[in-house]
Amino acid sequence: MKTRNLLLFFSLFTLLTASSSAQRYDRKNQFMIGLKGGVNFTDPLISQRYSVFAPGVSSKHGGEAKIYEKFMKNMGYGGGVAISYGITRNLTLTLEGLFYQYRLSYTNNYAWTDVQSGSSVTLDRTYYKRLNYFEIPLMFRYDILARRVSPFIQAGVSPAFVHSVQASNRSQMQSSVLPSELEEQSAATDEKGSYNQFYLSAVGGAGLSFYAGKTMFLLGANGRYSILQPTSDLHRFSNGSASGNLDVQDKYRILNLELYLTVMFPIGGKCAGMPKFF
Amino acid sequence: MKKYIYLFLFPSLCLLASCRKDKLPKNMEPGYFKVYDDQASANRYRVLDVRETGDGGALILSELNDKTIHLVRAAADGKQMAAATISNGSHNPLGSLLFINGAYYVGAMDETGLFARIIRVDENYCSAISSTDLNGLLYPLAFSEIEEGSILLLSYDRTNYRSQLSRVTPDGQVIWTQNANVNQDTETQIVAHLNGTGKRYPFYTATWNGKYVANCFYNYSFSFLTFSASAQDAIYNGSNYNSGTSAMYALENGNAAIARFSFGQSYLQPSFAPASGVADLTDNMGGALIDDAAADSDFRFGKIVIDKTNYIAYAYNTQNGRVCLSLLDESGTLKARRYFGSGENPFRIGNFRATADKGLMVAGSFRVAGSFARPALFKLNEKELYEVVGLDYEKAQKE
Repeated sequence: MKTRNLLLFFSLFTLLTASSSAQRYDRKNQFMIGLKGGVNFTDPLISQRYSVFAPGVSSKHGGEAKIYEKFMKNMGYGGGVAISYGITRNLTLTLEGLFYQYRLSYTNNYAWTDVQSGSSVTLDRTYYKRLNYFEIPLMFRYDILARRVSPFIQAGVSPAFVHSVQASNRSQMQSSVLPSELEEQSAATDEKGSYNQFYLSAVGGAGLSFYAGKTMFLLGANGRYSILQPTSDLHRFSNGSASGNLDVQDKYRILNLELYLTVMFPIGGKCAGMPKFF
Repeated sequence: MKKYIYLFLFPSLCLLASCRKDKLPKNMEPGYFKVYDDQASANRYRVLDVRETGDGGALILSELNDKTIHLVRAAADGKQMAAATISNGSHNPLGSLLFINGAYYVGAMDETGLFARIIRVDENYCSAISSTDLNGLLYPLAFSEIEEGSILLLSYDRTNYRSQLSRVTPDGQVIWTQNANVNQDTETQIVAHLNGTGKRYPFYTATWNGKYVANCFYNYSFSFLTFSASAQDAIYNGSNYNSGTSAMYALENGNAAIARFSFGQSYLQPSFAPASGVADLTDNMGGALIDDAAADSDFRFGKIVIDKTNYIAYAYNTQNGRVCLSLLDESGTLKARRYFGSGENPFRIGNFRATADKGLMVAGSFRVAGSFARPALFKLNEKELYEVVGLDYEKAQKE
């Protein structure tokens, strides 16, 4: 079944690209501006764990491990404007200005026991983080076919400035001898102070570009990987939230997958971005 | 064509220009916050004092379950190196951890004889190395280090109903003892104070302008007394046992900063002038009401130097379960304030100390999830301390 679907996909893809093979869409000197939007999924790659508890959290999972939510459940979004300039027939320089939100969440379980009565108390607390950045990805895009419909690959860097880090948590205390307490949701706070103001990631991906009249659509997927880590080693504890949250951020790099759609319009005089056949 | 290239170039250059990674100045470590947890839910820790150790770490003294002596040894980065109780027949640790001639001392009471005991502790293993009994001094209530490596010890004579201020040595020699008659039996209050079943009185000892200070029961009241080595000097009586001083700090100009309590409210007198031979009331010491202080809050004083400026710092517990650290300049004007803890996890002051790296450590009891009282330690580095008084560290270093 899987093979059949794959074959079907490739047949459609070949048909689509082949149908435009007669027309040449030269990107050279094209200057375009457009809008971009999409969703993304985040996986924090932990390099060092931190805890406010010493010697370590008394966790039912053991040690001071935080249990991070799976990649596909950490869905954020991003959107903004994009400009591009065709350097050669196939090679295009693109610059984007995005509001980009990474989301991640993890759970800590704290446990205490009363030796005399044998009862135990656990506190399950799930932390939600929304890392909001202004990102300015600068990438080179290579359109493989330079036709109306063309697959492309692209790569570049994505500098970013932190806008805010919305943090909240949901917790529930449970006693082995009492009914469970109500789940409590904390108010959202800004933990921007615990993050580096500047963040940089490598970005690269692939997709499909196609023209509909003068308008160009880019449907693609980008992967991002932190070159600089987002969390601050200096201010991990210093913004005062550690004592309120019973937690501080681990040291991690971000692996992120972005799925997006960009709509580009040609602008300017001679480099109006017209395909040759126009 | 060029104008389009500029469209790419300008943002890119702006970005590169603004790319900078936050860096700590050389030889400065990040601050931290640590909770020294214990899985036993029934255990309650009341932090009393903290001392910086030679390696930049900390030794935290607590009272476990209103009785047992407990020590935590933290490394320079806050990680726990050791934690242990000292159970050599001693309990009810006094509120100070002394550092005399390179050794750490804890004061406590003998479990059965009720006399004072001075215990020398190993800061690395949180264990007792040796101990000295002061058999004639019952109900030890406070002690502090004074000149020439000796100790000022406050105790209570249950037979003659009097407070006793003694100068003793760490090896148990009693140099002198001064008595202050209470005129009524206050053993019940003292037992309740020690067991945590009643009001905890801010007993303390100190030195001030060559005089010895005892904050203790005296003449049907809780009083602030000064002594010479041979006689009683000034007397400031509280209103019965409902008012008195909470803490004092001797200033370099001969005055003292005094925190006092009166029927649950707290006041701060930043500069109280000494008077010899007077008999007055603590309520006449003056000072401004500290409205957000918790009822009968503990107070701690200390000196902090930031950017070559001396600050008198005092810390107290607030009504919403935090610790407020306030900084006064030498004229007694409030210059800065910083809160520690959160209402969700109340934090109660143990003590704070300036550190050798020009930072600050604040130790106290932290109620995890509002329930479990645990020793906790905040460490601010020098840069963070600059931020407390609104200074930019890098800028200040260049000037």
